[in-house]
Amino acid sequence: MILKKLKGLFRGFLSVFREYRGETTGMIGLGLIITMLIFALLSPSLAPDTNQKWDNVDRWKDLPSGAPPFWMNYFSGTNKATHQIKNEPSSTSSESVITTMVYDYQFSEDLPPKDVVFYVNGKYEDKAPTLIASLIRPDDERLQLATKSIQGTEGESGYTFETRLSLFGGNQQRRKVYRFAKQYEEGSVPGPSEIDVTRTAFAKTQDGMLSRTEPLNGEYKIELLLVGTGTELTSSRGIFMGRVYGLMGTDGSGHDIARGWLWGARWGFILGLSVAIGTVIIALIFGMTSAYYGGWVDELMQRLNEIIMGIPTLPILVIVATIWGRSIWFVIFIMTLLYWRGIAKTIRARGLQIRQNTYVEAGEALGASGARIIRGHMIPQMLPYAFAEAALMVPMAIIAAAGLHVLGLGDPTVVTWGTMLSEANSAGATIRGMWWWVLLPGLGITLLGFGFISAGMAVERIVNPKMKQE
Amino acid sequence: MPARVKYLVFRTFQALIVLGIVILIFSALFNSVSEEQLQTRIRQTVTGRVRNSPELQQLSDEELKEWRENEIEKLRNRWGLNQPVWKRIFMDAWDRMTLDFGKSYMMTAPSGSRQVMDIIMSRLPRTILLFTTAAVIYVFLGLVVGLKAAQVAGGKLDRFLSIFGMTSSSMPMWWLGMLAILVFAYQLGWFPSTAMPLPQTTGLDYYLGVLYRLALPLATIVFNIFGARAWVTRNIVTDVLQDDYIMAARAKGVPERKVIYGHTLRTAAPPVVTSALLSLLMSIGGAMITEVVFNWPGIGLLTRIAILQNDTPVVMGVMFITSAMYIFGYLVADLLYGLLDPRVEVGTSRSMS
Repeated sequence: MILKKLKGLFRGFLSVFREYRGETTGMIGLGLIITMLIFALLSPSLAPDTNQKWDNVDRWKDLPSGAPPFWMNYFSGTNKATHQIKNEPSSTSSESVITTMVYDYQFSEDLPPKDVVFYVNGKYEDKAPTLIASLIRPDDERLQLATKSIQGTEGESGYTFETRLSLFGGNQQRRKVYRFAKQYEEGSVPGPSEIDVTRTAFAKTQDGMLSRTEPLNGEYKIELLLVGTGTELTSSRGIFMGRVYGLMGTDGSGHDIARGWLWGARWGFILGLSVAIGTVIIALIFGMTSAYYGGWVDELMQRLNEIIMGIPTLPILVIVATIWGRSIWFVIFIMTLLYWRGIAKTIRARGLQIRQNTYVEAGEALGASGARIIRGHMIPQMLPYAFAEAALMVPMAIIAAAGLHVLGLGDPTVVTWGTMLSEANSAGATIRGMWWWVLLPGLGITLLGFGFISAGMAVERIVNPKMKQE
Repeated sequence: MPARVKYLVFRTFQALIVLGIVILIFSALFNSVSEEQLQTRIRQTVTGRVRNSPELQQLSDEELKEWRENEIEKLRNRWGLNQPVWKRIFMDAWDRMTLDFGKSYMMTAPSGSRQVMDIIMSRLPRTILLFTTAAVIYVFLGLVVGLKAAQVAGGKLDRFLSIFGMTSSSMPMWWLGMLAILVFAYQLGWFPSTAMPLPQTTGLDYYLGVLYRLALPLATIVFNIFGARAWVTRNIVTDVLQDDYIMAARAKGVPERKVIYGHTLRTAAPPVVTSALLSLLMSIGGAMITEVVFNWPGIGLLTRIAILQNDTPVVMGVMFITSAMYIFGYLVADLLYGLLDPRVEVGTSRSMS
C-alpha cells in the first residue's frame, strides 16, 4: 500500500523532472545544489577538528594568519612562498651529546615563508637538553636565531618532551635579524619594529638590505642542535608557514577558510533544509485544511494567517537570541514558526482549485473523511508546488541567519558562512584588503541561494504554466 | 457602512491585534531576564547600604539578617517583583505601548539622557534618511527597468533581468556592502569605508559630507533590491499586457507608449505599489545589518552595540520600534491596495505575498 503510493509519487516526480531537464537555469541550480550537498556531506571527513575547535587558538597556531589563497601567485606579480610541512629533517647526525638535524629549504619565490616552526619530540634521563636553531644561508652566512631550554614531563623512565620552537616569532629573533642586516646598510635605516623579519633574513646582503629588500634565492639550511646528555630524539617536524595558503587562504586569526567554508555549506544545508521542510509541512497542513473545509474555518484560518503575516521576523529572532541564548536551533525553530505563512497562502489558493476536481467530490461521495481526502488526494497534488516554495525558503533562512551573526547574535558553537563574515567585519578585513576572507564565504551563501532560487523557479514554471508565458 | 471604510476599519483592527501579540511576546520574554536582573540589583543595593552605614554594622547578626530581609521585601514591592507574573507582563506591556522602554544600562543619548527612547530617537532619523532615500531610488529604477523589460518580453534586457534579479536577491545585502567597501573604499579610495565620524561642518558642506558617506550604503541597498523589484514589476506588467482590453487597444491602433503608460500602468499599479511597499518592509532587517558594515550611526548599528554591551533594554526598545514600523507599513500597504484596487472586499485575501 505504502509502496504503491511511493511509486506513484516517484512517477509524478519523474514526469516533472523530464520537463525540468529543459530548464537551463534550473539545471544549473540543481548542479550547484548537488555540488554543495556533496561538500556539506563530506565536511566532517575533509575538515575534521574545525567546527568544534574554531575558537581553539592551539588548533590554528601553525597556520599563517591573513594569507591569501595559493592561486593568487598566478595573478599577482609577486610569487609568494607556499605552506610546506616537512615531517622529517633532510639529515640527522649524532655525536656524543649533540644531535644535529638539518632541514633543507629551497627558496625560489619572491617572498619567503612568514615564519618557520619546529616541533621536536624526544626524551631525556635527568638533565634537560637545550635546542639551538640556526639559519644557514646560500651565501654561507650563519644566523643563530633561537635557543630554548626544554622542559619535559616526568614519565616512568626519565622525561619525555614535545617542544615547539618558532624561528622568527619572538622579539629577540627580530633584533638578531635586524642587527645582522644593519651591518650592510649604509644610509638611514628603519627601526627594528618596522622590518619584515623573514624577508630580511632571506634577503641579499647588500646596501639597502633593510629599506629595499631583495630576495636571495637558493638553498637554505636550518640546523637544529639538540644538546644534552642522555637525550634521545624521537621525531621532529618543520613547518614553513606560507605567505599564501590553501585553496581559500586563511583569515586574520589563522583559520583555514576552506575548512570553515565546508562547514558553512553543511550548516547552510542543515538550517535551510530544516526551515524549508518544517515550514512546508505546516503550510501544507494549514493551507489544505483551510481550502478543504472552506466556510468559517477557512475564514478564521485566513485571518490567523494574516495576523502571523504581520509579525516581523528579525526583531523576534533578535530578542529570542538575546534572551534565550544564541543557539542555531532556536533560530531554526523561530523561522519555522513564522515563515510558513506565505507558503500557506499559495497552497490554499491552489488547494481551492484542486478541491473543484471531480475526484475530490467522488471521494466525498464515497464517504472518505476530510483528513483522508486531504492526505490522499490533495497533498500529493500539491507537493511540486510545495517543493518550489520550499526551495525559495532556503536562501531566505540562510541570509537571515548569517545576518544575525553580523549583529553579534550568531551561535558561537557552529562555524557558518555568517560566522566567518561577521569575524571578517569585526576584524576590518575590508579595510585591510583581505578580499578572500570577505568574498569566499559570501559566495557560498550566494551560490547556494542561487541554486535553490533557480531550481525553485524552474519547478514553479513547470507546475504553474501561467508563469511560462513569454 | 461603505465597503472601503469597512475594509479600513477591519485591517486597522487586525494590525492592532498583531501589535498586541508582538508586545506580549516581547514583554513575556523580557520579563524572564528583567526578574533576574532586578534581583541582583536589589541584593547589591542592600549590601551597599549595610557597608555604608556604621549604625547597621553595630547590629547583631540576628538583627542584621532581619533588617536585610525587610529591606529586600520593601524593594521587591517597589519594583513590582511580588506581583503575579501575568500582572508584571501586562505592566511591562503597558510601558512598551506608551513607548517607555526604561533606561539603558550604559548608553546615553547626545542630550545626556539615559532613556532608551531618547537614545533611539537620536539615531532613528539617520536610519530613515538612508532607508527612504534608497527606497525612492530602487522603487523608481525597478519600475522603469521592469517596464522596459516587459515591453520586449524575452528580449535581451528581459533575460538579463531574470538572471540579475535571481542573483542579486540571493546575496546578503550587507555582504554586498562589504564588497563595495573592498572595491570602492580600499582599492579605489573613492569613498570612505566608514560613515563615522559624521562631518562637523554646517550648511551645505555638512550635507555634502553626509552624502559622501551615504553614497556607498545607498548604492549597496539599491543594487541589492532593484533587480528583484524590476523583475516583479515586469511579471505584473506582462500579466496585464495579456488582457483582452490591451489587445483591443493595440488592435485599435493606440500608440504603444499610451498603451504602456496609460492603460497598462493603471491596472498594474495596485500590485506594483503593494509589492514595492512589502519589499521595503522585507529589507528593513538587511538595511539595519548594512548599517553595521558601514558604521552608519542609525538604529542598526545601535542594535549591534547594545548586543555587544548586553544592554537588553536598548535591544528590546529598538526591536519594538522596528516591529511597530513594520506592522504600520504592512497596514499601509494593505490599505493602499484596497484603495487603489476597487475590486477588493473585506475577506478576499490579497493574492500576493
